[in-house]
Amino acid sequence: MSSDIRHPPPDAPLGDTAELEREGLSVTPVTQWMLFRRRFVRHKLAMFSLAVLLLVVAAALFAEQIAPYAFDEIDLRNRSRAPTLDGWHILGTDKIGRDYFSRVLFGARTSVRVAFTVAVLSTTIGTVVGAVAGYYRGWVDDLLMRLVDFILAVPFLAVLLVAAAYLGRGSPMRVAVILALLLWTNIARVVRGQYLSLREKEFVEAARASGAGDARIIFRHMLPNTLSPIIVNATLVVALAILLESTLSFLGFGIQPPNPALGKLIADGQGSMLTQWWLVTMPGLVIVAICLSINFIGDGLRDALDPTQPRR
Amino acid sequence: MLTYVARRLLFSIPVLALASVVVFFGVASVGDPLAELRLKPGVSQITIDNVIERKHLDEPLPQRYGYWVREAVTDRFGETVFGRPIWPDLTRALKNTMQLVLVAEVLSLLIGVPIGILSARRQYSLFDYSATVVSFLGYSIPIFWFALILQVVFTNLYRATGTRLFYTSGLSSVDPGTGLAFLLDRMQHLALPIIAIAYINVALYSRYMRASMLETLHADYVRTARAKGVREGTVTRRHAVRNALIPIATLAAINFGATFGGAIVTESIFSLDGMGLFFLRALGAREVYSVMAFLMITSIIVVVANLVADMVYGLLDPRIRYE
Repeated sequence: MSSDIRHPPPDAPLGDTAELEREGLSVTPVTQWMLFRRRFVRHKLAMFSLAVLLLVVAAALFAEQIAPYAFDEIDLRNRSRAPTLDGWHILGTDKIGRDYFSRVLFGARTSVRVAFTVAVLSTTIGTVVGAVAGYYRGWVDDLLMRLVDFILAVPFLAVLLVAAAYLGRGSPMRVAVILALLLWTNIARVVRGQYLSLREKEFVEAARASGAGDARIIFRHMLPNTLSPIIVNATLVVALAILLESTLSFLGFGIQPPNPALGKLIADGQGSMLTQWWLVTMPGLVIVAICLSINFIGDGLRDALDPTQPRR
Repeated sequence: MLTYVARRLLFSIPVLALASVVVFFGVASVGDPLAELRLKPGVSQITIDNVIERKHLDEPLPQRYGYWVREAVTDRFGETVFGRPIWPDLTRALKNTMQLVLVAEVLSLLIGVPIGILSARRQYSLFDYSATVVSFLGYSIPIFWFALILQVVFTNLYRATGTRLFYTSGLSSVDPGTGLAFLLDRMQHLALPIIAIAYINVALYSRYMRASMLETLHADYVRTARAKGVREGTVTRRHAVRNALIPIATLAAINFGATFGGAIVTESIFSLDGMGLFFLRALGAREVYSVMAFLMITSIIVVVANLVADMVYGLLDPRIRYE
């Protein structure tokens, strides 16, 4: 299984520095990881987004500790209040006096948890399926791509409604699994496309000639060359999952009470959106903030990870 | 090429057949088709018995599946349990949704692809950063929320100024007029839903085009072309853009289904008489036959879109041969 065509380990210096050092030159080895880090840190939008995301995610995950009120704490003396510092209703209250900031915080916690579960599950499934289909072609490809065609042939929003009826509505983790089972197809297609063209490349041929097995070629030689589209896609999936989950919850088929959800908050606020602007605006802004920062981070990753780009 | 298309069309048949099986057994086992009918006041047992006989509801599921397929093919999906023919409602909704989705798709490609090319050509320029922020914002906005905000903004605009720029709901005015007046009225109604859908699609296409362009711009053959002294504009146009368009063609076709799905949400917010509203209404009324008809029609549209994507793929990339 030994192959002469190797990728340097991620933390190995690029090039032979020993020789230069013998000549008395001081050399700082530059590793792939350092290059990546340097590129990423320079991406100001991505760094800023990372800070925003960490803040929002931390606030969401520690909703229990941060929220000034419980998610469903009713205060009938403080109904439909605009955002105010009085009583710390910084995002106002809804029509039965529940603190809106707390509700949004708990809703965001659900969204974040669901989205990250979806991303991990769907990226794994999609990468493996796409790689196998693109590498082996033939009947394996046909079979897997027909499966992809089939999943794509029924719009997921419609399928989700049916699936929700089957698997019991309202549970965040069930919604996450359903979403993941429908969202891996895009990644599979992208990965397959990459593999279809990569498998004709010389380095694959060279690896095969030097006796590397299929699994080694697929995961050691080809996968590193596919990583950037996979990572870009995985970040897109996180954002997509949050958007889809909130859409489902908005339509009343996603996460349901007693589980808090941002989409449901917007649906509840829709009726009075012309008079009480914060009810629809605020949960939406949180969704936008999370998705926007995730997308910027993905963009930064894409630029930083791509080894074919000139060093900056 | 022709044999390939024929083979793919042939392949579509089992895909659609499988879809029909999943749709039927999925939907039919979820709910009792008669549930809503039984709840309706003034519906006699005789009416219900008639429906049971007409839809063969007293027979096991596999047989009912056969009857359903036959009815779908020979009688254009037949009638709902309430006795209303499905086809007229469905085609009217399909026509309206197609109007919306096609205009939005074409518009998004025409705007999104050039933005992506420019962004990649001038990576990290002011234009690139602005385009990135604007398109990322579009990509991060939930379509239903964006539609709601559009509604609020344009309702308040109308209230403040008293002049109507765009309508915030419906497909036509009570008296839409004829000819040009009708067209203008329709455009005023469709504008906001199209903006809602197109913004999100422009964001998607421009991002993918940018990523794809960056890939081709750093490819060896582009460097070779430059080394040979080909002018930069020609390099971009002839070498980079053409190859960068290949994944976009696939994406556009795949996304067509998603756009169609996105129309469900948009239509429900703008109360457009389209497929989305048809579907949500059918779900609300628990009318399984309409739901299944919707799912099948949408499946056919998406399968065709995928076929088109593969054909375009072959046209754009001469390395790909269809035997």
